[in-house]
Amino acid sequence: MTPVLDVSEMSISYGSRTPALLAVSDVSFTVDSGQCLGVVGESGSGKSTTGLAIQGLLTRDSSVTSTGSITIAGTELDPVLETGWRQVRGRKVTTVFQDPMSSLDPTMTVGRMLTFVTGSKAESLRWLEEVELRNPAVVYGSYPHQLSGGMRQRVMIALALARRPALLIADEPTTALDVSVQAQILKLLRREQAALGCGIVFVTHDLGVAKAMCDDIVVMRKGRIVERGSATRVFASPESDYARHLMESRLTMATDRHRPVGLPEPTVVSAMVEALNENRAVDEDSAAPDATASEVAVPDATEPPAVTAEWEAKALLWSRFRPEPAVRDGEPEAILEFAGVSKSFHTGGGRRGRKPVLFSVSLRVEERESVALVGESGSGKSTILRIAAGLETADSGSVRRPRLHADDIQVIFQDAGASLTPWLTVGQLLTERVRNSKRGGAKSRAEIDELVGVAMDRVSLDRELLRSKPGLLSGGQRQRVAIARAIVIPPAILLCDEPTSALDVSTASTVLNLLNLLRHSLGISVLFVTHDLAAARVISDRILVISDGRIIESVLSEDVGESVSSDYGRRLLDAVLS
Amino acid sequence: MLSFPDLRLDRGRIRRTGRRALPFSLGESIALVCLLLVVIASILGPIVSPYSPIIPSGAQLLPPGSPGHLFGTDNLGLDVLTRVMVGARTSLFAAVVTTACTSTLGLILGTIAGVVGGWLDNILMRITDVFLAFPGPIVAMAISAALGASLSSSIIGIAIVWWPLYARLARGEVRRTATSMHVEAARMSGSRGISLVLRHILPSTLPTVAISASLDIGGVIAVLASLSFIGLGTPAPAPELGLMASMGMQYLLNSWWVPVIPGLVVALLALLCNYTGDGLRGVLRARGV
Amino acid sequence: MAKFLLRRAGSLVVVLLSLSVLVFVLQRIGKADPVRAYLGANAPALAVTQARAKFGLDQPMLVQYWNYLVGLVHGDLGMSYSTRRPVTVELADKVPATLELAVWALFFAIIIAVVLAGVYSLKGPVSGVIRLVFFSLASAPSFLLATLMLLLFFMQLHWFPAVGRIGDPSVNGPTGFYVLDGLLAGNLAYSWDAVQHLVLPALAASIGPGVALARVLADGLSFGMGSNYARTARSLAESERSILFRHALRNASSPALSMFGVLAGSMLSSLVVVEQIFSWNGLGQYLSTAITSADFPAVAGVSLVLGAVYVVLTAMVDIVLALVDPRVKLA
Repeated sequence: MTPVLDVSEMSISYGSRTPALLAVSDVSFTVDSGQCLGVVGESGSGKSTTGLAIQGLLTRDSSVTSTGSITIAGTELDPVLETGWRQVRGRKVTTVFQDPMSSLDPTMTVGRMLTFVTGSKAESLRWLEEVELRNPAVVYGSYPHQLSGGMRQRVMIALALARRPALLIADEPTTALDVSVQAQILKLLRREQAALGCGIVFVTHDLGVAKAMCDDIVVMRKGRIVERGSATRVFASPESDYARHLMESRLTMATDRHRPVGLPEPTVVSAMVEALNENRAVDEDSAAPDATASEVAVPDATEPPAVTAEWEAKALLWSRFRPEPAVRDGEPEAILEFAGVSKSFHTGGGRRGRKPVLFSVSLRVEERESVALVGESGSGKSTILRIAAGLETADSGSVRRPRLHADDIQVIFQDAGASLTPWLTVGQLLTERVRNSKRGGAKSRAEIDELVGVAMDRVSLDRELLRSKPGLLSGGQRQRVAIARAIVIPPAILLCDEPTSALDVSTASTVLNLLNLLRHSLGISVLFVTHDLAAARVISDRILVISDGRIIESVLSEDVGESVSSDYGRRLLDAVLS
Repeated sequence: MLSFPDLRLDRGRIRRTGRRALPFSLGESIALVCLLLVVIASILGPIVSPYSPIIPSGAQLLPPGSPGHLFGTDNLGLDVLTRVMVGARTSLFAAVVTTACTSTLGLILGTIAGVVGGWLDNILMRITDVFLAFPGPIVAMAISAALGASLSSSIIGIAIVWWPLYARLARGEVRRTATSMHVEAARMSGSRGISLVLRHILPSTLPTVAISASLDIGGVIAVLASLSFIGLGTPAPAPELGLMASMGMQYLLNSWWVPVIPGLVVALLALLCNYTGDGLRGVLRARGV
Repeated sequence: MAKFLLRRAGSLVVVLLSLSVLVFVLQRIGKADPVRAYLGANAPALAVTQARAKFGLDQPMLVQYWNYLVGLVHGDLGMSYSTRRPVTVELADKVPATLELAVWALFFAIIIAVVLAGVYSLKGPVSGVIRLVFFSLASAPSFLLATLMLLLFFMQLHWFPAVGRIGDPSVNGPTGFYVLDGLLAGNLAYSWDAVQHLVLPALAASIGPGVALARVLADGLSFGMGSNYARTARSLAESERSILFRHALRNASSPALSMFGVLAGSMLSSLVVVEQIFSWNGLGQYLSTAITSADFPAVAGVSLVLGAVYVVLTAMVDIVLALVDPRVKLA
């Protein structure tokens, strides 16, 4: 049987970038009818360029050059020359794009767009029904902005499938969607594929999605394919180092939450050594008369190779980094307490138009405790965090932060790039934080520099970077700068707003490991807001599930898989595609 | 043409790319050099020139290229070159003063409204709403007419209708920046009050207003000349470009240079300023603000 | 829709009120003395006092303003100081003259914008030269454009007439729009004559706005052609041409329309200059005469009329905007 797609030794480079960028290098793969091939990689891996090339969408830019060929359903094509594509693009190969909002013309009704493809209204309505849209007639007359994200993506799928293509490209089709919607869209794609018998190329950065969806996988890195095979095999026993690294970094409900995630990384290891040394210094101070004993007890566990080996052997537990807690009597104290907090926002429409987002929310974060708030977009989870941070005020109910003043609350935002003032250097940002704090305000220049330097060590960033502006750093580095700023004066509680969701898998695991390390070594409480139950489970002791402005469930992270009982919680659980 | 400031400034942040090594394009660089030359000429020219801009010094209506009178003379026997150089100087100076005052006023009011918010912001926005519903240039005419024809009343007229545009621009920019994540993050890291505004908000507002202002100078030159043309500038025989064109119209039939040369000088000044403004926008954008 | 119109009517009232206050107050604190303008600089003191009383200028300012407002509500814009006729009467035949010119100028501006936007999308040296020429023209003040057009098309080529609205003032139509009047009277030669008179002044007033509009339109089109929805259309086998006309043009027209509203306001004021040069017997020429003679009622009258025209125009633009872009709600 001839494959519907045969990519042969394809290389693509962008001439408009200086220096010219080789985005895809010598890539070959085939897709058969009815087969779903996942093209998986992190940002900069060349997976998106590969996706665009096999749709013939690189032919407009004359600065893009290529070698190799693409054969779609028997037609041989050049990746960057228009010749022949007109009979193929939009007929034999169609695409479901990532962002359904911007990918649909905002000035056109769904019906007009769809009828352009199907030819008749009846056929359009049938397709809307086919992609399981309720009320096809209403959707037919709607504009894209009147639909929800999931509905828009269904329309997009109808548009792509209506021509009955031999090959469907799915370009991160679920990335912009909520996790529970994500699962439905994947199910729909699976079903339609079975009905139409088309081949699918599924481009994604999300390993869980790839595992759930694809028969076979190619893993790309820096423009090359580093691993290929059946999905089961690649996930179970990856052969290349990079794939192994990726798979280990992936969070599932089975990830051991007492240990660092993924394979040992030099950055995290050096931060760990730093932390261990600090702890030991504290121990020595407190146990000064008996110094020799403690030195013998931990000989060279604080050397990087030793820590790496321990991590590799899966023997490194987070509890190692926790200095012995001072003995305390009675109940642990609350750091943050919400009692019956409600909040609504102006919607702009109407004079008294207010949309309630929180309904009588109560929660409690104790000293040294880490609590995760898990919910989807619009659930109100970020609003809780913003109220806790003092960036918003509650309409009613009480927010108590016993014993805390402003210094003791710090926030890490989702988009680190946006949370760092672009025209200030990293050093200026960190210094400013120290100067603004009660504890650091009176310090001398040298003391501040030392504090800032230590903070950089703790997130294992080179002190050289203090002179850089955020724009020159990578996404992961920026998030670490944001963390350094938050902990340069260690707060009592750290509020994290989806700090890893904008990052690549491996970068995300670094950030999670650093956060876990810091919360254990510095004894910081954490409130972690996320949509990802698997990430929540790793970072927190306790998980609160939130939906539509209400906390509907509170479970211990240790046995979250078994103890989640609400329907909604189970849905979130299912969405962690393990 | 009387034109409004460029309201559709692209606020998108442009990432640092290697695509354009020099933010000033060739055309923009040429424009900048020419503008500098024109400025120097308009400052030095009248000093060096043997003629007075207001005391007749030769035969009347000599055509351009006549010996001693490169641009000819007008109906009174005044040297046209000397007069347009003085006119260009006045014109540039007045346009810069107008734009600088107006944009500074707008920036201050807009920033205050944006930072303080609440009722102050509401009042300011209502006021600017009313101003924006006016046909600006017509109101500027009415105002300077009411104040009595002179260059300064033209400037006041323009400033009164124009500041709300800058105020809105600055206010919008401040609001956008103030709700952006880096400002929230700065607030969480303890920055408050003036230092928050100066360090984390204004550095992004300032360039936007500055770009807008620099793009407007050319337009203001044309507006001032047009006001002067319809009799709203300093009265004759002042060497103002618009007035010279207007007074010369009756000689168009036989001595075209009398009305046309001052107009061409206005067009040249405006064009050079517009090009340079575009270049400046490129520079500030390339700096990633 | 009804709510929208009501709101705009309210805004019209606010604009006219504040405009009248503004002009009124400034005129009083200004240096120009209407009575001296009316009587001449050497008038005897007694005549000055009498004239003051006659125009009500001896009364407190608030009373003067109140009287003016009461007159305004009754459609009375006061008496011109210089012609001694009611301003309302004087404006009656000038409003259609200016509106006719404005409509043509806007029409030309749109044509220039569309053609030029097409040129912008081309590549190569020719389009570069064309762009440079038009960018230069757009920087030029309208009085220079008008002067150059007179030199070229009237004095050199003799293609178009230079002065006034019409060669033969025999037809006196019902609307005051000469082209339309000619058509209504079945007198095509008359309409044609009116059109010929219109071309130069309309062109002079339209080049600047046309070029500005072209830039917005071209920007919008190139943005639209590179957008994600264009990519979707491409992936569904739509031709580039179809993408341009079905998708990009519609999306690009909303910023262009907003710009159009702003430009229309500034065009009204360049008409003041253009009318003076072409001796066009409209509001603009009337305004410049009034300004030089410190004729406050006339100045205020013209400002109010043009202000009203502007408010109505922007409301119309907003309605069209809402028709074109489904995301825009009339408010």
